[in-house]
Amino acid sequence: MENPHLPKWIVVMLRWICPADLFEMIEGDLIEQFNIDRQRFGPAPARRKAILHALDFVRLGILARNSMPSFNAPIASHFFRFFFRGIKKHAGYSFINISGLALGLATVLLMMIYVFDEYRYDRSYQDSEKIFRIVSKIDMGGEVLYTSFSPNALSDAIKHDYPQIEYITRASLFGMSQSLAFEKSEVSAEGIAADQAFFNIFSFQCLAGNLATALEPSNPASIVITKDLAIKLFGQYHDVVGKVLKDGRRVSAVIENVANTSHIHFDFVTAFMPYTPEMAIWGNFGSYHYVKFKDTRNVPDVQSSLQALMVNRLSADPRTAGFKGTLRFQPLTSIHLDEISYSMEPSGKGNKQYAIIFTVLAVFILSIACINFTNLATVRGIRRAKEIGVRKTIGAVRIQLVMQLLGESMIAATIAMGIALTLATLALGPFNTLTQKHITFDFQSFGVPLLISFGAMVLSGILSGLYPAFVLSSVKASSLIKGIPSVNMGGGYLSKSLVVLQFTFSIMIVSGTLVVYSQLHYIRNKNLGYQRENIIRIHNGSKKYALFKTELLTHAGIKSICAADQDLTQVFGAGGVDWPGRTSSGPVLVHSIAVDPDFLETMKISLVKGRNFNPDGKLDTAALLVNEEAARLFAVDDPIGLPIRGINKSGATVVGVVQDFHFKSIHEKVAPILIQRRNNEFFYNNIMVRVEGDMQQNIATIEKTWKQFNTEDTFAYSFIDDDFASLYRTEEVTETLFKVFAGLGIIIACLGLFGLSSFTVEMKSKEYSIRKVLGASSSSLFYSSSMNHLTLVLIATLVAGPLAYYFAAQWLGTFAYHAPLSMSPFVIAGSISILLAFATVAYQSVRVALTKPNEILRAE
Amino acid sequence: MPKEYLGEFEELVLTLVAILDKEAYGNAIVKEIEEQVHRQVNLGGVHVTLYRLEDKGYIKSRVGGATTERGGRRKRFFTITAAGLAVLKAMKEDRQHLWNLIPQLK
Repeated sequence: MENPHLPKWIVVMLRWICPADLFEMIEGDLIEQFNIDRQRFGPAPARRKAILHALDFVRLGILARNSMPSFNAPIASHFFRFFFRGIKKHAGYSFINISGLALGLATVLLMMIYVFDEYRYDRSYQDSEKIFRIVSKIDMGGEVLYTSFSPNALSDAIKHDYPQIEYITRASLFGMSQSLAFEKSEVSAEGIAADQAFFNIFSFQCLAGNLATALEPSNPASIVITKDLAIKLFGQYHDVVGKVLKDGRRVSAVIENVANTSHIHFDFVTAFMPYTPEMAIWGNFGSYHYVKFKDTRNVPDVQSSLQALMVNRLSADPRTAGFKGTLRFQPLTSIHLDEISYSMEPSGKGNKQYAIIFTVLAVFILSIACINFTNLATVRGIRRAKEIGVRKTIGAVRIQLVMQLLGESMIAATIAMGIALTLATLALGPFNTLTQKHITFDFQSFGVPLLISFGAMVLSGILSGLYPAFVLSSVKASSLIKGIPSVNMGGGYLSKSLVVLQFTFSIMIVSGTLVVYSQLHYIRNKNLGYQRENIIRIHNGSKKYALFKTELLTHAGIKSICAADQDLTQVFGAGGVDWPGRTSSGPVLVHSIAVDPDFLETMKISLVKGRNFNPDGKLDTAALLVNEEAARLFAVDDPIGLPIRGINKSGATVVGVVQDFHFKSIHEKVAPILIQRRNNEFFYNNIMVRVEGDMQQNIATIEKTWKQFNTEDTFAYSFIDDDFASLYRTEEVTETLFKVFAGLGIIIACLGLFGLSSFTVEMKSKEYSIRKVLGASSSSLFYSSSMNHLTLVLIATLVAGPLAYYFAAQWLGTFAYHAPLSMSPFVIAGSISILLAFATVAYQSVRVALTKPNEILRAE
Repeated sequence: MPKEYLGEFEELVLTLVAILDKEAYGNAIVKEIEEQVHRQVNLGGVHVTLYRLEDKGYIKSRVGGATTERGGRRKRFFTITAAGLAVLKAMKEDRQHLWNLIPQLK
């Protein structure tokens, strides 16, 4: 009988999937069937049928019958026993190894959680991809202003002519917290005003009451409050609809709290009142506009059409002719991390750059930790060459060894992951405080980052097990037992270049830390053009400002008081101005701030030219002070006496020029600013008090006096230098994170180097002994042994320096004013790393130098 | 003893193992099913069912005779156990009881 020919691959596959005790009979049945089919249908169809029959055996009923050899009980217990014995025997090693990876994984977990939280912004609203905010770019004749406000006329125009837009709402913030009261409870809350469509655009769950008419203009006393505000005001939120607050507003609905990951935050919403005809013009960029599209494919068309309409209307109106504005439909989900910073942003904007920096840092730390883990595990695997040799001799199959070694590194990685999770959970609190986030341990925040770090764990587990598993298991048992195998292990190019990579990353982080530190030091000590120390800012206006001021000044410790309409660290107000002798055309927008006559005195801004306002304000409302930058903008020989139109109804005249001072973040250049004298105390909602002496007592004095004159308004204050510092919170967070990262990176890298150098020394102990016998001096041995590793760090320094310099220059470029970038951070970072690396390897090198050749060579 | 559930195909295979007595192995069962009830079944499906029935203790197997038409591979022969027979019998009785309740057939 001729041999039956089942396709060979079929047999191989079956052998793989079928349990050994079943395989022979299954194969037999297939061959028998094949022979029958061959006689009945011929060879080719029989072959096809055989393949189908064989593939039919790939089913759970067969696969599940395989008992994995490594999972049978005695071997499994062996496996774990060896693993824990190994851990015990090399406790130091295992500790370094596992803790290094755990630290790396924990950092990555936290960083990724941060980054994902940033990207999650505004995605919790339903159909968030269909929602857009209309933002504007205003060309101010040289300077470009980006604002998240858009023209007041938009709402009506869109409602009439753009059916592609399903809903549009206006929205505006109340600016400062409002005091809401009900019976005995009084709460300060943030509110917004919006149109009815607000709730069609943003999906808020309505917990009680009715949202359908809550924001109709016919319903001006209606107020929609969040669950939290309801609980604060009424102690509960179930039964509050219809209650009337002290100011007459009536609760019409309670909604779920605004998500932390929303770009706009509020505690309550009231109806947006219709504009007067003068307000509803295209030239008035006065509120936020949110729209929801039915179909987002229409966005580009609508945007260009609206843009054309705006240009048309602006030039048709004599008040706004020549005004250059551009509209943009900004996707809701990109607001938080938009490349452009728009002014009037409702709450702190995220920073894409920082999200990227953190991601890069996380990748660096993870690489350092994984490389470490891999190098150390490799070293440990090589040290076990003898054990593996013995195992082979007594009959271990190669696959068993591979499973054992791979399995061990996987267990170690899994333990590291467990520790990392615990660390990350513990660190979440401080991390939230540092980054001012509200991340909780839930699937939404942890899901993807966990998957990423899990992937990293599996990868490093496999990579670190790979070398010992496959290389060592392939070497002949006899050469493994004899001692050091002939193959060059551990000292190979791979692990050397990995060390270089590790140190490149660490040096980059260290130099980054130094650069960030120097920039923050620069910011903290920058001359702002005013003295920011010892000034208390009251976040409120006083209806009896003059009386309050006079009374307060009688106290010791109170040096000087002034008031302004805006926060001096963040001036937003701007208006279009014109002056005789101007060479450019179109309106020029210039920042402006309104103050009282003691402004210069209190803030210690020096007058360069001309005079200050008259102390008696009534005579001086038409006077203007300008900064040097504004004087340069006007480009006239003598700005004193220059009449400026547009600033107030009757125009005003420049009476003095003051030194340039920073009234925005120093990311931005000092812009021209006009300082006006306003007579109406109502405008002042910031009161600055320069004090001296005991701060506690001064604050108490101010508070007491405040209460005396302002029974209704709350007393809230801050220090100007804190206000200023808060502008650089992101930078400060970055600095802290950089410091932590730099420390971690260097420590982990040095741990790895320590393990590696001790291994090399061990491996080469015979070589060094023989050298010594042949006459090498202790110092020359010390030198050659340490140089071996220091060269790697040196190479890393050379690689890292230029790279870090490039990134540092990029980052500093985002500041209009920055500390000079010199070579020193990079030199210092390199030196620190070399020194630390030297200290690490020195211990081993000393051992080499003090080798007693007779002891080592006798062992042979 | 609580009644064990047997699927339709399991019952079929179990019955055939009983019919073929000491000559039941994969191919023979496939062939017999084809001849007796004119039904095409897969070898893989039969094998998996046989193993499952063996797990449940209704049949037992022994390894026997290698033949040339199998390229020298041995066969795994299955025979029904007492438990298997009991379950077949119980199922038959259940069926019969139900059949007797069908009014159209009375």
